[in-house]
Amino acid sequence: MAEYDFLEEKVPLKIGIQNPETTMLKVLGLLMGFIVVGITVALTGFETVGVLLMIVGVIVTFVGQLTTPYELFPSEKLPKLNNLLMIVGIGLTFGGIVLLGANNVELSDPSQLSLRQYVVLATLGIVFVLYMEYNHASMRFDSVLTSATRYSKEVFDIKPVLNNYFKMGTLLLVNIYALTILLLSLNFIIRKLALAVNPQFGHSVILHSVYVMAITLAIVFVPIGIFLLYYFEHQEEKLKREEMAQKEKEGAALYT
Amino acid sequence: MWTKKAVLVVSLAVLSILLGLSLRNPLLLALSAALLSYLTISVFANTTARLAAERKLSHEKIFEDGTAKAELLIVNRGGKTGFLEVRDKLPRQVQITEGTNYTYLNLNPKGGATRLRYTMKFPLKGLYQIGPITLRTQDPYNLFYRESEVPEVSEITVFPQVRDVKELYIKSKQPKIYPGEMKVKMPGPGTDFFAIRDYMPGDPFRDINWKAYASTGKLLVNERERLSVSDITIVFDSREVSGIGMDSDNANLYGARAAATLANFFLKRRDSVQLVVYSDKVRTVKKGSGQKQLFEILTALATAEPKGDLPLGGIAEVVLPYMPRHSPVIIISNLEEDDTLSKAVSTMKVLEFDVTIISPNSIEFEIMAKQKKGIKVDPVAYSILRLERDILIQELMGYGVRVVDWKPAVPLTQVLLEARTY
Repeated sequence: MAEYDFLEEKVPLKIGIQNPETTMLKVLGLLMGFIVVGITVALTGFETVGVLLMIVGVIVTFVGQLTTPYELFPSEKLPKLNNLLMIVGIGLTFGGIVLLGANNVELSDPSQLSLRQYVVLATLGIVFVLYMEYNHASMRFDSVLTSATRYSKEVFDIKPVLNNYFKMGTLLLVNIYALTILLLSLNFIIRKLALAVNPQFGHSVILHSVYVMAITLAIVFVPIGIFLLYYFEHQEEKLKREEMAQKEKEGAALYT
Repeated sequence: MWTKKAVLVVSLAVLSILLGLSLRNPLLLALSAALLSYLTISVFANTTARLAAERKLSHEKIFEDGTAKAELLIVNRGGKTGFLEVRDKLPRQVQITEGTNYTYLNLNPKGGATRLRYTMKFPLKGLYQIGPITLRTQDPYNLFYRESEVPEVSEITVFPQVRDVKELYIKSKQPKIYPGEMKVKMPGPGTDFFAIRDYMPGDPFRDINWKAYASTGKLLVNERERLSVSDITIVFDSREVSGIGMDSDNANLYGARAAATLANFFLKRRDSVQLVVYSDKVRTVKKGSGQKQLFEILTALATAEPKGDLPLGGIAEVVLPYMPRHSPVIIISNLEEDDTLSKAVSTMKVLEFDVTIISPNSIEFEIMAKQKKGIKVDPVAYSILRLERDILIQELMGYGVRVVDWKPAVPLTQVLLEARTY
């Protein structure tokens, strides 16, 4: 059979800014990484290994932004170099948070945490999400640019896409932040309610605050997960029906 | 559908919960709360595109290396599209020379539209399908996506290249009575000198060769070579083995170009041409002449893909009874993997067909493909294959058949000049 000589374009390893259009996302990713380090240290105190691990993680993630999606391994199933560096970097940052958190005695007793500290915790969570998101978004839009220009001969304007991303992303971020604060505050509210209903039960809740937090997450997200599974299945069927109906309706020329 | 990123986020959230519980650390639980909120909110931000599309093409039939312009109109018939990726699916052999078939945009709800304009170059013959249009919608954070297709499909037929050939030495011994432009190696009406013979009563005076009369003292007349139309059959081998090599260099492609050039030349000469393509089945373009016949032959060659393994012997049995005796038969085949070949060719010779074989050399195509891909070529193995091929060619020539061994480096026009039958 014919052997194919087309599309054998391997992405070469190139180090440097890939696309100037996405530089802002790269800088934001780096900034969020250092904010994560800052908030974590502010919450837990300084511990050399943990802080070093986080800083190395942030730097490795940033280095991932400066490389092309070069295939390090001869298998498409394994991540490309830039993705691999990002995953390793985020993993190291996460490891630093775990180390710093574990070394802090005050944090091991959440019953002592004030509402303000819960808000700071939620902020840390959101900044960590943004740290991941901006780094990933930068690579995603880099690949959109590559994809748009690889086989075509037209300059692709990514600015409207980026504007849309920042607009919609910020809107969603507000909701994510609100939901996170609500989830963490629930623990605080449950603690107060339990104390008011039954002091013995309330003390038990305070004693097991970490488990209450985990149970709160489970109570909120397990039903949402089940609902979404049902919703997706139902929506897929609905879409198929609509597609069939649209196909039947098609016929009127679009050009006028 | 979940993206890999979403799976990683879920894994990280679960890991955070487990570590948070084992280390009694609310920091990690806060992280997992943020990660799970991130996922949940994004699910609801994922949209579905309901688009309608229409494609206009500048040409539906072109020759190899030709270009066609496409204009794609996409109209949003649903709500917000969010992050929408649109790609007009193209066969991988097609090259875009101008514009783009890909875009990433956010279409306005109910009637928002966009146009993609691009020019495609088709370097190889074939029947190409443009489309369907693939769509992918994502939430802003790319955690979930939905893929769909708009079934808008167009077809472009790319004919094999036709080279301009001034002269070919393929002639028939069995002319038809109609005057044409083909010299048929027989005396008759024509312009070129053929032979001298004795004067016979009734011969026109202007045909008397006065110089010959002066030297011999006998009345002799010039005879001219007859110009006539002829029936020519082109047999094109499009079996799977004809695809050996690369997309851009293989026996199928080269053979189709040769067949198209020959057909064009003969039809211009007002001959009647018949085409037989054999692959997994036999496709015959019945003999005919004129532009319509050329169009039919080119279409048959364009759509002849390398597949199947029908032997020439079987084809000969089916087709020979319908072919005029003594007429030229041009077989275009790489002569690979067909045990019936010698028998079929000898049968044709027995039936007094004037057989010419143009054989694109698949061994050379294979070596070229391997060298291009950096695969080591075993010289001993290939010298044995070449020897086997040479023996087969010698055997075929032993039947009185003209065989042209076509190496990829030799241009088509030169190969056709070598294909003389006398």
